[in-house]
Amino acid sequence: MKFFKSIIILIKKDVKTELRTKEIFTSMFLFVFLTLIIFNFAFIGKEINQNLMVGIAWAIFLFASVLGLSRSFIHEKDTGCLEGLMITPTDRSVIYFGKAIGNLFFILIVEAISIPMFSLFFSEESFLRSPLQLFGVLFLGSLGISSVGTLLSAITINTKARELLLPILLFPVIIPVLISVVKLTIYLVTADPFINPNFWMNFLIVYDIIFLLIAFLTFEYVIEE
Amino acid sequence: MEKSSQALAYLFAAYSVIWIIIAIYLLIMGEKISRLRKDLENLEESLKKK
Amino acid sequence: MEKWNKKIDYFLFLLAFISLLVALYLTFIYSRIEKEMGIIQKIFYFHVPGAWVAFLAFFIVFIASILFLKNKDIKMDIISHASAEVGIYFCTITLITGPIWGRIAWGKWWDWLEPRLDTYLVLWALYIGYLVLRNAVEDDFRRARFAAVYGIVAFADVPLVIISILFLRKFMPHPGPIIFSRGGLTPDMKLAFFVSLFAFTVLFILLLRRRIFLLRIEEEIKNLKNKLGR
Repeated sequence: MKFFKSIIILIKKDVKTELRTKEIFTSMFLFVFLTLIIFNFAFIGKEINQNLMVGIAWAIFLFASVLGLSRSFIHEKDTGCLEGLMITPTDRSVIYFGKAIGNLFFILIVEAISIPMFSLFFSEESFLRSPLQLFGVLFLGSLGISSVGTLLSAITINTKARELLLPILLFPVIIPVLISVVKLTIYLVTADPFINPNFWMNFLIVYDIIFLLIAFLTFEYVIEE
Repeated sequence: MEKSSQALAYLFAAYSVIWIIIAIYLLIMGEKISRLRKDLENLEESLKKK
Repeated sequence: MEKWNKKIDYFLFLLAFISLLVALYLTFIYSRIEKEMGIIQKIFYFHVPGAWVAFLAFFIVFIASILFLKNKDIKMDIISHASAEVGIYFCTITLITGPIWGRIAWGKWWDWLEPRLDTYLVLWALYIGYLVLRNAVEDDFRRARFAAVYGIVAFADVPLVIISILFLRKFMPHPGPIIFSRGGLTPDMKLAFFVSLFAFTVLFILLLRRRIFLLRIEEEIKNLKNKLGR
């Protein structure tokens, strides 16, 4: 019980600082917006079909998530807040879960705002055809990104290259998530009969569980000094 | 006939790739070893001075 | 101990040398030319052993990473470092010989729908990342911890990558694992394949042992330097 309470306190702390500075959210959202414009000009005069649109959306979400994830420990690192958190009498994994859930929030909010925007710019309403299922896909996909991303962000923040290293480590690990969310979103948008949504859904859940478990077990070795 | 001779050329190219890459690896290791030797010599000298 | 290690390495060197020569003979002269694919099929005798060795190397990284986190033994860190480094070279061999085969067999260098090729590409990226990470951390103990965590994450990702790419499309133009299917390989092909597999594995063990030895020396010289205050 205390475990969950501490996690909630940590999330509240992150949300509060974010509400005050709006640093992560603004940069993530503007990044999505600007990349969308870039993509539209890059493909100008070309027919963007639904499959391509879904792929573009997820690629942009992934890049934007990296932006947010790479910032997630910088505050703690620069202000010495991480040391403060580490001497509190809680389990180290509390810090991980607090951060991962906070990151998940930020990514989800950015995605929730961006998706109507994608529909608008691509003049494609099919994105919003089944909002509830779409939210499920967004949730599981973003959970995958933030579960691995938070762990790797805690690692890269302590290296010489800092946030530069995060995409190099994260992208190859995240490929299965990218494949399954793209497949699932295409299924929701086009109802492609060749896609088996149950398989990809279960696959995504298994992926999330595996990496949450690994992060839970190894996070203490990452921040231990 | 044309195709099989091309296949043969590709096959030998592929086989030589193995040894080229392993040779590159050994060269890099050799470089490392010579650098370590130099380090050791420097260390010895500084020990003698002391 | 040191003496024994040297003897083992000499023995491994001889074994690798001889078995590689035998494998060379069996591959190019002894084994028959496969009817359907023609002579290019012979790439199989070193492409697949290379892939196997790369996988073995990354598996060793995984095990050594777990053992490191468990016992905090820096020896394990040295093993995983060496194994990742040697493994990357074999992975590169696999990645280059694969497309050469594909050029003749499919008429194109790369096929994104081919699961094994893609898997090895991702593997390559994962362990290049692993080595880049090692390079980016200065403190020894911290580097070892970070690398171990990433070594575990990377290897846990491998089966997921394989499954997700396998289900990307139904058809697979790559020859299936012919070794396991009935009547796929004739006895002479089997002999050539397994000798080659053995030779590559011995070569890998030899290179791995030498790399570990070299890393230990590097470690010792670093310690000496620190002691002398330079």
